[in-house]
Amino acid sequence: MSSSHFPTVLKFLRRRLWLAVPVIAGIAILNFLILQLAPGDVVDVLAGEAGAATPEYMAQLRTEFGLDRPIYVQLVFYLKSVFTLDLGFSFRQNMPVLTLILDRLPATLLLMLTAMGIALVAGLALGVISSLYVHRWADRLIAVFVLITYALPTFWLGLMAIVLFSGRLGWLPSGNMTDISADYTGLTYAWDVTRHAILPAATLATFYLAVYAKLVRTAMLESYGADFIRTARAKGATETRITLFHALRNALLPLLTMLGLQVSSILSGAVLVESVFSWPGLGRLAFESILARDLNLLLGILLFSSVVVTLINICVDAVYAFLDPRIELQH
Amino acid sequence: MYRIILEHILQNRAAIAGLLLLVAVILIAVLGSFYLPGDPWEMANAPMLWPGDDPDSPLGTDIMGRDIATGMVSGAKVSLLVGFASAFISALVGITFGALGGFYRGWVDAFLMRITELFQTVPQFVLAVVLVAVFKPSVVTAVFAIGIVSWPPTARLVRSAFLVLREREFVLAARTLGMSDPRLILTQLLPNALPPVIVISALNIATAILTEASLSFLGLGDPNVMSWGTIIGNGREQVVDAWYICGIPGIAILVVVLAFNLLGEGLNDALNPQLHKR
Amino acid sequence: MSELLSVHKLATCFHSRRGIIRAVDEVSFSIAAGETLALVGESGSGKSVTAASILRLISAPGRIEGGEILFQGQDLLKLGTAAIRQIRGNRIAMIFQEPLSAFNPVQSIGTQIVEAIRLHRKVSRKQAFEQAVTLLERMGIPSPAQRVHEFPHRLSGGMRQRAMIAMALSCEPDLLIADEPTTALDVTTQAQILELLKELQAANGMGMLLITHDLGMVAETAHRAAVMYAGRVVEEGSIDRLFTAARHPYTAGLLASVNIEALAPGTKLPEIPGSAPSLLNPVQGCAFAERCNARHALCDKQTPPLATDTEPESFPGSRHRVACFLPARPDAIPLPVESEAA
Repeated sequence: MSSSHFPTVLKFLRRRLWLAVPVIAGIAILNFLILQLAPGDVVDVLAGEAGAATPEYMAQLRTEFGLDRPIYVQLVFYLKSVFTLDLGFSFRQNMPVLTLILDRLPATLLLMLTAMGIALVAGLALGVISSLYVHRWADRLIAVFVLITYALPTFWLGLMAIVLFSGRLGWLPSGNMTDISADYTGLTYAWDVTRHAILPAATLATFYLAVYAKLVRTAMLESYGADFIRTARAKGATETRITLFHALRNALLPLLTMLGLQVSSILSGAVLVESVFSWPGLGRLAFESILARDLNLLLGILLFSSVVVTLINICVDAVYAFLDPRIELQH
Repeated sequence: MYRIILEHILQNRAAIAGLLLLVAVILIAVLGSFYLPGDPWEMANAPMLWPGDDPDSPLGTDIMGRDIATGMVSGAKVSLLVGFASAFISALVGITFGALGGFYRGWVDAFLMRITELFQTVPQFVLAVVLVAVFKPSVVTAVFAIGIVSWPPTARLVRSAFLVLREREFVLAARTLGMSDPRLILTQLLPNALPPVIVISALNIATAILTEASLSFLGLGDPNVMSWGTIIGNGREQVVDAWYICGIPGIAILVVVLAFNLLGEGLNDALNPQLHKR
Repeated sequence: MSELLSVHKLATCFHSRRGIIRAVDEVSFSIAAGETLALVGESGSGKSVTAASILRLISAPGRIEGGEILFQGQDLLKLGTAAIRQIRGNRIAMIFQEPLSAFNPVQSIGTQIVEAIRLHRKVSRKQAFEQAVTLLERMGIPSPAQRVHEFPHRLSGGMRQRAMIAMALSCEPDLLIADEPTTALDVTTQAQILELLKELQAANGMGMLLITHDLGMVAETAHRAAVMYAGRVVEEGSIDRLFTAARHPYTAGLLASVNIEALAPGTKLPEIPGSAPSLLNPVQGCAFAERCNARHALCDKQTPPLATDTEPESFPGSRHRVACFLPARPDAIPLPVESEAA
């Protein structure tokens, strides 16, 4: 069944990728607008603070950008450079922006995906427990946890986790992705990265975990009232089976919708968490570029992270269509 | 109608808890400025005093000897100001986009919704960071940046309300009376679409306070105004040895955000009594 | 005939903030093997709750509060949860009104039939799948080998109900409970599904409890019928007798409202005045008294018991029961068949 599904999935991906083009163009235009509205002219902003780039280079940039030409010509120039993946040059880091970003991307993706995994699994577990013991103490306890977590500043949670788990207890490292002093390879390297990833990933996951727990609880309670649950009971299925194969399976759908809506927010959260834990990803890069007032790099990160969000959203939609047969991939 | 809503709010435990917490924070902000009129940036005492070490600095001092209690009062004002102001901007933009899209439909709606989607795709916090960094950090830029990144949900909400409302009899009646479009939108449709906007705005205040704290934490706060995020950002290097510097303002953020979340939840229950009954 | 199912003084209540709703009260009836009993009544009369109570599918705030349900001599209300699960879908199966929502939307019908089989039979997944295909074929579903992989939303309403029946019959139950099996279908499909159920019953010799408000369907399918009103059985008897010589004023009214052909042209359609009472605060006495034109002082004081009716001897051998202090005389009711013969 899944093998005959495959070409449809490819077609779906191709169509969605084409649909993403205007979105990315829109974000590029937004970037261009920010540059236009920023104090100073585009080249001042692009080249960073004075002294970072040579005056000759800035003059060359001005002609290249056609700053004497009308705005729409400048926009076309800008869009062209974006779509040829030319995000400019970071004078602070002395490297092309794209290279810098691609260098840091894997770490961010690792952090994001781990956090999403933790949030999904733990959120599902808490949501199911909540729905099974509805209005009893376990449910109330989870409700209080959710309420507090909604109000927790992520970066503060990260700092407090460092105080407790790295400071007082000394269980886990407080920053970076690997132990810089050691030179691990293979499995020991993987274990080292895992140890370093636990605190930042758990910190980033906490908020979403609470959101999912609340959502799964509602969806499960709604499912339990559904006709098909009664059918399953009438068939003689056990309550465990009904919970896992019928109620939970259907509660996954709203969960996935929520996940898709939150990809961009998770990426935002990653920026903060990375700067707390010195995790060498895009967020840390953004933090460094804020400190260095490297606006060109910052704009590149904004553009690129939007692209990442768009791509992950396409994946989420494909998974959704796979889980819900009522969604047809072609049409 | 609004009196009934008020009664519902006063019967709602979550809303009352939120209101009480909020009143407490406002009191701290107001009374605090009387009792602690000092400059939160000035060295007031010996550095790194723990809370309770010296009655002159009840909440302790940071590494530069700045009084944390004075900073907390200043931070309360900043948080409330940024929260309300940016939620207001967010509501204004959201209502405009949603109302125009829902009222005129067609290409206007399509165009406005594309822009809304765009703003939902861009990681909101990263955009806020870029805006504040480009336009130089200050309370005003923070307010605008947060307002600009947080309006899409409001726009969607208003749009769907308008799509339903515009077909209702009283709107058709007003239309046949020859009422102009702007008047129709402002006097007939908007008042009926407002209740859910009030709920989402309360939640927007909470998010705005969190975002402001995050921006200041990253060093993008107003360099002249001490906010809770700034205190945490300044204290993060010593967090393991002196966790109170980060801990105290963090708890304050937690309490204020919790207050607005509870208030929003309570408002939601009060405005949807049929949901409440279940 | 030996009794397959015998329900005795069943009481099911729902506890709400506004009080206790006695949805099913002192309901008794029985079904023999190979027999179809129709449970007839308006919506809200308690017939679906009765059906759900048999398989103990009542969940909070509802509760079965009394009576016994003897199935093959065993009281289902005294079984443990594991034991009742062994009965559900295996010895007693159930089909539902709305086949679209009764199927899990994210699993293929094959997967769901396989689940029903493998819950009670130790067969491999592959064997169960083959069985599912055979079952679908027996239900008259074209190209069953392909259809078995379809998801519920891809089938037509009639096909879905056929698939639902296939699932219910997968373990060859002794009793089938059909809760308004054709209500959601169009008229042509209704007839086909009804025909299918009759055929299957004749072939398997199973008992059937048919829940419906459609008297035409009762006349066509059932051997006996029990009429429910406000949570109680008011009359029970063979179809022949019930349709020609109803004794309870409510049954008589119900029948009069459908025997349109029997009316003289130009006369107003008969209807029962008033509406069904609230079950929340039951009135003292007979629940139908409010709407009854043969009301009597006793009707307001006591609830008439469901008693064996001895009056007319014209239907020898059939047990007839009625809950009324003043049952109508059979000859007082216009009977199309007999009046023509007379």
